[in-house]
Amino acid sequence: MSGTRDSRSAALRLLLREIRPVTGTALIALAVLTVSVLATLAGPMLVQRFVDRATGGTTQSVLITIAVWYLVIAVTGGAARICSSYLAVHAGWRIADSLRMRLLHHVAVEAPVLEVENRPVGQVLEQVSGSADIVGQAIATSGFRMISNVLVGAGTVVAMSLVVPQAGLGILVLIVVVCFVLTRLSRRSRVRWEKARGQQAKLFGFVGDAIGARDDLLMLGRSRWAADRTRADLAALLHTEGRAYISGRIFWPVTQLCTAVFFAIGFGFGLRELQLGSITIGTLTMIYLYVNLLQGPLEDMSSQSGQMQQMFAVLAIAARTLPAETATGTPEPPAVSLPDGPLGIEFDHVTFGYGDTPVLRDVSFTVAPGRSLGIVGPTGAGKSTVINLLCGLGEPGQGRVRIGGVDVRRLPPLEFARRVTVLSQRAHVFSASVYENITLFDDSVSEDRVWQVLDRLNAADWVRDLPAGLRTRVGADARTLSEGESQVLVGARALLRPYSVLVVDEGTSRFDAETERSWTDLLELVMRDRTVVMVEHRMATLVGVDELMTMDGGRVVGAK
Amino acid sequence: MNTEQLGFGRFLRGAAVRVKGLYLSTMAVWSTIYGVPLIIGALIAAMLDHAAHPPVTAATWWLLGAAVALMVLRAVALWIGLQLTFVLIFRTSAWIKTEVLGRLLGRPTALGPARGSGEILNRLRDDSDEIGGLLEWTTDLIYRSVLLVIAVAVLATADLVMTIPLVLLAGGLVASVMLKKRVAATQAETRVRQGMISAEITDTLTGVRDLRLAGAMTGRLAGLYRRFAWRRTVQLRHQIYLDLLSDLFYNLVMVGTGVVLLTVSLSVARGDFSAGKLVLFLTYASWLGQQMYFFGKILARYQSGRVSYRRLAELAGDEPPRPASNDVRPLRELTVTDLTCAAPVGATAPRPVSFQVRPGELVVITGELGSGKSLVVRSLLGLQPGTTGSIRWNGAEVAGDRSRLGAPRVGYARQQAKFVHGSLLDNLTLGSDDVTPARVEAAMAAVRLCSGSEELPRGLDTWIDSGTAGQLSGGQRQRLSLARMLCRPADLYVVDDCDSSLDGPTARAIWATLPRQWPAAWIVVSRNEDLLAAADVVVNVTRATVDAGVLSL
Repeated sequence: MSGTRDSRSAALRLLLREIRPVTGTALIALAVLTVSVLATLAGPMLVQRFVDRATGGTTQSVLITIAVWYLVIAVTGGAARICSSYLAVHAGWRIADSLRMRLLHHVAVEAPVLEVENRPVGQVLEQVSGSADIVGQAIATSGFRMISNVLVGAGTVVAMSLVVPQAGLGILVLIVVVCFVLTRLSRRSRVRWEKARGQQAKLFGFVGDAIGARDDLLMLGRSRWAADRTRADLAALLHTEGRAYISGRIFWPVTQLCTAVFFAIGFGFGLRELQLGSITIGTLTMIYLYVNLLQGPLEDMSSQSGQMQQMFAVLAIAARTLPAETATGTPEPPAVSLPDGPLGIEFDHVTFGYGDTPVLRDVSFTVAPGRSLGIVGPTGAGKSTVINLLCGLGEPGQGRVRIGGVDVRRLPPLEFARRVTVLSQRAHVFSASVYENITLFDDSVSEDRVWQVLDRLNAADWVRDLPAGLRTRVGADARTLSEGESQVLVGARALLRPYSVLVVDEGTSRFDAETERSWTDLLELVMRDRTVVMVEHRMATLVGVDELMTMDGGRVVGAK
Repeated sequence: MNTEQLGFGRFLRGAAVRVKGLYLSTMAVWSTIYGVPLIIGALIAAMLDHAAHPPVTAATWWLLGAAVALMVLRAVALWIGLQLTFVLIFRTSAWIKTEVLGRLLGRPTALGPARGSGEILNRLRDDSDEIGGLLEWTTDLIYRSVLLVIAVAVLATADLVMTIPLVLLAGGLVASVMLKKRVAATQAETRVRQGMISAEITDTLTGVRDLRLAGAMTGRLAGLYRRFAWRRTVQLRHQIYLDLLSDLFYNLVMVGTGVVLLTVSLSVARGDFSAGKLVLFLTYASWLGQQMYFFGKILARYQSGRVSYRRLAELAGDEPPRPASNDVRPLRELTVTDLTCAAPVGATAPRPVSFQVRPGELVVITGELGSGKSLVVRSLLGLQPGTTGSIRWNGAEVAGDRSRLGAPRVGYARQQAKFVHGSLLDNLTLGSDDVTPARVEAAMAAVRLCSGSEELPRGLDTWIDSGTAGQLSGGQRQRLSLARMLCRPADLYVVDDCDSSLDGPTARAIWATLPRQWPAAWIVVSRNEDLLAAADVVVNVTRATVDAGVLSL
């Protein structure tokens, strides 16, 4: 029980943090909202006056004046409503995007790379964008309207209490009871929504995988299976999501039931007062209109609170993912910087494993500054893990990995990027231009620099032949590159940066004979004065290295 | 435009017929929910007329009791109605999702929509929900129209003169028609931008390692944040038009009440004022306003639904995928003559390719970087558009016929194969009962992926977290893709570059045994020297450049 309370307060804290930047807009929206609420509440009072005057026998002009006043107030209220809704939408989507940025920043910058790589992209997207959209939608279409409904409800109770105190009191008591029941129901609904959303994310994770693998599935004759499995998963989701939906919308029938009781209370007391002659038929009409007025907001609130619950469910998940606010949090660790000049590399009795599966066992080696080391070994020997640890992507179970004498886990990412360059087989080609793929979206790099690098890679002609040269779009939604062509981009990416340490991760495996030769020449050139660690399958490209180390089964088995 | 509208209308009708029983019960329950307030209004009006002349009689209390009882009934109907509504929406949107997904998966990537996975996922998720919601709203459309007529008839019977000004409420529909157009336009634009941003986020997350290690993530995110703001402008406009549309009718209720009051004050001279009649008109006016509000919304929703329909239709394609053809005879001979591939825009196509392969033979397709080797095999298998030339299976032309050039006769392991979230075994069987444990074991042994070995300690239970199988090494992925293909018997195996990430001994071991253990015809794209030496036929793919010296790669 305290767990849900914690998650709710965490969600609330997160929401308040997101609202802070748009406080001004939110306050103005609230002020305008109040105007529209007052206009709504004034309506029944004018009708009461109208009925009393009409039954009491008065001049037509008095009635017309009241009717005209009613119209004026109606129009003012309507204008205020639209105005406040504009401001609410504005604030809502600002908040949503700010949350989206925070979630994306967390995944892209803070979460461990290996963890992000191992999750289906569809699932991550669902959690980042899907969540933010729910929050935006809830605030823009429900949040402010819900406040307005609460105000209308409170105003109605006050107005009723003024004419028939017993009825006002009765309704107030009932509202308090109902609110208590609804909060209990809402807690249950939130838990159910969290569960449903988890299941949804899983389902879309699979769908995303199937879409990515559709050529594989098609040729294996298993496309139907993927669609059928999705159908089965959806059928299972129907139950979970249905329970969540109903527990979120149960408010509507409950409030409808309340309205019935409101009517009974309002008219029961009203009719008695009327019999006693202490109120008029006009006042009774007013009571009717007020009870009616209560019904609309209560009905709206059912769907709105459903949306709000979904929002809180999403926020609770987000709050769990996101670290607490850093502004007042732990002090930044002192900036560590690397010494100038070539850097040495040291693996000091490193052990590493996933769960209880050991991958590296007591691996030790050093590379002196400016020297180069080639690592060879059969597939699965643990070479990629050495690279991961060298890049600070994993925490060794035991031992230390140091670059330039500094523990890589303590190196700030920017300092790492400034001094270390990784050339990886796993490199991704972004859906962007060739230029952006090489500079990695850094506009400050001149085209001349890029051409120079391409020249050195013997790839300038290939790029020149592309329809828009450097500005040709490549990647998933444009021109797909062969693996060899992708490697050229990756090579250029690496060569563009100044660095002291070069890490090559099976980087040249797909070059043809000629390119492989020029690549070897190039490596020889750039390896000068730099520290290099190369992981390779083939000995050919390892000719230029100073030392060679053989790995097998997570151990160093030989060195020369 | 008009035919498309017809198409969407027909589609909705078909979707409703599919769940006829559910659809009709939903309609019946919601008719009760929205019809009951009309009766309640009439009861209250009668009660007020009774109460206007004290003393308060038993009839007055009975009327109040009846009204309250009806309200309780309405609450019960609501509870049932909500369940029905949910199931109707969910079933419909789930049906659309699986239909579209089935058709999308039935086409090769190159012949399908040119959209990133993120964008496709977005459409599958949001657009099918949109249409499911719309279908549910159409139930309302029918019964609300009926109730509308009844309400107006009741009012006209009570007082025709006072009813006529309420026609003003319908005037709001004109404004709504203008607003709904804006709603549709801004929604389409929002979705486009949403899709683009989803694709960019997906792309960024896929390349998270490169961006992070290069210290380029902050710059990339800054670009994305600017895109968020760019989307927000149109999102804001969209929501405002939507709100204007919904508020239009809410405001009409207020104005309607004002008009009723004015009409009453003008006719008060007739001397027939009664609080009951006033309340009847006020109740019905606000009910009518609510209905107008609804009609406006469904008009807007219809527009959104059509946009969604169009977007999903693009994913689904024109024709349903053809099931695998059963009348393909076992392969005796495959003859490829002058197979010409259409190059992607701006690239040069490889020169036409011709070769012949029989069971037990090995064709190796080789060539320089970027010469189009993959394109050749993809075109051969009918996975690329614009392919010409002849492909004969035992002499019969099968070029471009994916129903014949695929499972169960042909097996294919492609370059950069993708997988699904699940265990390694799940990825081999892909839900198929035909893949026996013995077959799995044989396939795993053939690609030298041994269960319980150092590199694969958890064997077939190894968990694959995502489609890219990031926790496996490049070589493991390549072999897994090979094994997945070998789990299914075929007459012809086509392998695109499944040894480039393997170390020499492993590759040699695999190729030394594979074709012999799996007696089929083999077409393999490779630059492996051993394999080239073992080939019966070597096909060298070259680009059809005029000046062969230009490309020095």
